[in-house]
Amino acid sequence: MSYTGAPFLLVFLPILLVIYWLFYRRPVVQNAVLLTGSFVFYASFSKRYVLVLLAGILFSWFGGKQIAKNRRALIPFVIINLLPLLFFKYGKTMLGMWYLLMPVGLSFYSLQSTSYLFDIANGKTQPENNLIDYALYVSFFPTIVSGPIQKSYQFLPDIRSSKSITYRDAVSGCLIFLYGAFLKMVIADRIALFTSPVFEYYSGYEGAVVLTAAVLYSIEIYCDFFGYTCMVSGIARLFGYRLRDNFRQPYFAVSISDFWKRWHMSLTSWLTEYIYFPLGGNRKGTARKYINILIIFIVSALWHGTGLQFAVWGLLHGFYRIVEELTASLRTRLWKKLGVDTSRHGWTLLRRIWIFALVTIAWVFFRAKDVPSAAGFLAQMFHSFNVHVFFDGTLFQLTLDEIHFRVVILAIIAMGVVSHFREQGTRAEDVLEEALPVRWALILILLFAVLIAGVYGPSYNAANFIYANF
Amino acid sequence: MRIKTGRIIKVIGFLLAAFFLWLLVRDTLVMKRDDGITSMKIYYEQPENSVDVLFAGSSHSSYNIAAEELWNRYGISFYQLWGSSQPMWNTYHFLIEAFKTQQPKVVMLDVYGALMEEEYSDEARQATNTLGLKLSRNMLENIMVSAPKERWGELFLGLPIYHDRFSELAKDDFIYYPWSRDSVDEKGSFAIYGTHDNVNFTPADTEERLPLSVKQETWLRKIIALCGERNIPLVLMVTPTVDCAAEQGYYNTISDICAETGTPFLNMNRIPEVEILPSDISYDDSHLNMTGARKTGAYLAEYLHSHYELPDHRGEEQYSSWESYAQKRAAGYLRLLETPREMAEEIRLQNYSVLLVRYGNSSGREHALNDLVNQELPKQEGAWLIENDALAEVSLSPEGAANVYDTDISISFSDRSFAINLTVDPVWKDEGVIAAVYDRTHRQWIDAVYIPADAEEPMEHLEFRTRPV
Repeated sequence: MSYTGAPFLLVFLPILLVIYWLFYRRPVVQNAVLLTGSFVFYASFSKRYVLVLLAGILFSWFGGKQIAKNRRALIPFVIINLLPLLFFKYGKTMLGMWYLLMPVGLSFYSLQSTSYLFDIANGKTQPENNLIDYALYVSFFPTIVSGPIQKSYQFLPDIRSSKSITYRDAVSGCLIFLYGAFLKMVIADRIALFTSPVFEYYSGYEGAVVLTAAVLYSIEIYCDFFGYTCMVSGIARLFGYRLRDNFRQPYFAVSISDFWKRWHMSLTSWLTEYIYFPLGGNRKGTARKYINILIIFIVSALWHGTGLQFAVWGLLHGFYRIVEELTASLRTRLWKKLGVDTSRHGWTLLRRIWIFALVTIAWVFFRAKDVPSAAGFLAQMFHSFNVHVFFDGTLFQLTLDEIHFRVVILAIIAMGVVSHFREQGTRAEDVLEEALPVRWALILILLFAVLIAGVYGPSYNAANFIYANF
Repeated sequence: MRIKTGRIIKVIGFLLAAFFLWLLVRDTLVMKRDDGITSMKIYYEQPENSVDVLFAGSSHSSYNIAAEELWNRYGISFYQLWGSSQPMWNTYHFLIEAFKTQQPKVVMLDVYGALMEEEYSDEARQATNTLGLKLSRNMLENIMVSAPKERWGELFLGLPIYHDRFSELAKDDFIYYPWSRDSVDEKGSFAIYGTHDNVNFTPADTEERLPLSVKQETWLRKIIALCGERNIPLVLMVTPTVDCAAEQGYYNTISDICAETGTPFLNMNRIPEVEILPSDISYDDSHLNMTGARKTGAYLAEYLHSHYELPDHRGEEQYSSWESYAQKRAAGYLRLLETPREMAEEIRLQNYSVLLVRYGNSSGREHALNDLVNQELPKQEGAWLIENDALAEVSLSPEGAANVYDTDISISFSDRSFAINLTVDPVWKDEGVIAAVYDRTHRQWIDAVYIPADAEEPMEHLEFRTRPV
């Protein structure tokens, strides 16, 4: 079941919502209903992997109790808890088990259950006695596919609490879901029609086309993952849950460290809290701090994928971060000497473009099938760089014709406007303060933009989320 | 949880707005396919209880019957409600839909679609035979019987199939709405021109019985029962078809079902009076061309007139759309044509005269056309070219050609077009030929076209500034 498919939206979700809210103010029953729904949802991907999930839940639940008694049990339990992830992730490449298919969401729920073990060891949470609540914490269906990764000391109390839903919650939940669907189906999936063949056969394209594909891929991956995040946040809100932000306008970042405070915040936070800090963070000298930064990015890269290209992607970001820190004071002095007023909007815009360019280069490695392909792709950008493709219609003769490009551009502009308001602190609920006709018009435009301009239907498979593969 | 009434009203209001918007978007984006979708949409525009003879079934019930013959001869109102290779289960649901607004006096059911043996049509025809229906229980049931379960959702919602058409919307996409009556003078007929050179038209004389699929037979019997319940006379028919020898075994089975149920059965492959010749088969060799369609239309007009009491509606206000339809067909099949070749073919078949004149951009087309139709008429049918104020005959046969102004212009009827070959004077940017068509039977100018010299450019129908007589 895909979050954007008719079986989910027209059957599964409405039925589950009705049953769930029938037991209003009875959180024990509500949690049991939600857990059942989560397992039904998960089983729709593959019934076989439900067993892996179940084993993971039972093992980490038991592990939590043992760690509470003896903190030294943490390391073995964490290692064993992560073994299925390592097995499925690396079994295919390192053990030659090509037939292995990684269970959906394993990367996410493994980190989530591991966070529970760490939190017990650190005294941030108590072992959960109620297995249903704990199982729901690990398998909560909106987040099991691609996160956001929840920390036990934040999410378990949410699960235990009594839920309520207001009219505003319901409408804002639907609005957030719709906005996510817009990002995913109108922007990301349409861009993918262009970027996929260019990344696959880059040597056959003009440099300007390859550059366009690189830039568009940066937007695609953001819209894909943020779109997914919005959808699951919207769904969670309909069940009375408020998920924490996972993205905060990452392409508005003015530095790499700023970027990582805005991109996939739940993973960054997990890595920081459970790896960076235990390694000493920035408390053990400058050299150790940089090593720790590199370790964090290498772990992040390994978590994302097994190929060397992911390692290069992680190392690039580590390199960016270290160079950024090393040159910080130098740059400050340089700008001062040159009389650059760094408080101006223009300067901020320049910095944003610069960071976007750096991140885009790194995304090329993330997207390419291997390192030589990524290098070839980047080299191709400078090969026969003919800007005429933007003017003589060549660009529109590839996989996206002119009208589809216009849709992409319009949609990106709309997203930019929304991002601007989000950056100013506007939230989905604020739309509900608008006059009724404005409110309805906004929601209907969004709904029909998705229905008409979204990429879906028999000839497409819009069900694949990029991050579901990690 | 306290639920406020105002909020409930707002939610209902919003859902209604979204629903109506969805219906609007649906009508705009749905493919405007003649083969099932627009034939149903135009049917909805017909005045209530105005259709006396309803033709139903596959494309044979439209292309193979020039039904205006019913109107021209006896003032019988009709509609051709069909879908491509339409199996009996779709026809059944089309009829249910049709009977919601009409009480036909006869249903003429083409049974070609009953020959298909598969459980479902191909995916494209599953769509064309379901998407034209209005949202209703009948539409749902039509979908459920037409496609496997996995497709029900997308066929019901429609948008998953055709939402991407937003990038190709054209004028035709904005005319089929519930309130529209713009197409009321269309009656579901379509015409094909040309003749297949090498067609095997062999009326079969076998008594072999080939079984219909269980599903087809079930739905065929349901159609017979449906018309019986509603006291609507039903005639099953087979229009003349190529290679009918292979199909005759099935038609024999259908003939048995008709005998069993007391339903008349017209197998026009076996009715010599229809007088179908191999030259009456069209280029696509599975349909009749206009000559053949006119023959079946004439035969059916006589058959219906002699077997059923069908009122003559000519001159009645409610039936004016049939009058304008018949006029449109009689006075200008040409208007429906898009290529010079089709036009030449139609001219060749009819008692028409054509006057042609070379046209450049030195004067307006309307002026040139006016000058043209004020010429003295040729004494015979055929095509005539005005050359130095005199008429030169142009052959419309494939070999025909005529030269005008020495080698400056030549007109020929080639495989590609009713071709105008010009040695273009660079000063004249808008080179081509204007052709005006005169119907010698009805003694009127019926059409005029501008045929550009550049074969890539489309032919353009012109309006007479004042209707010449």
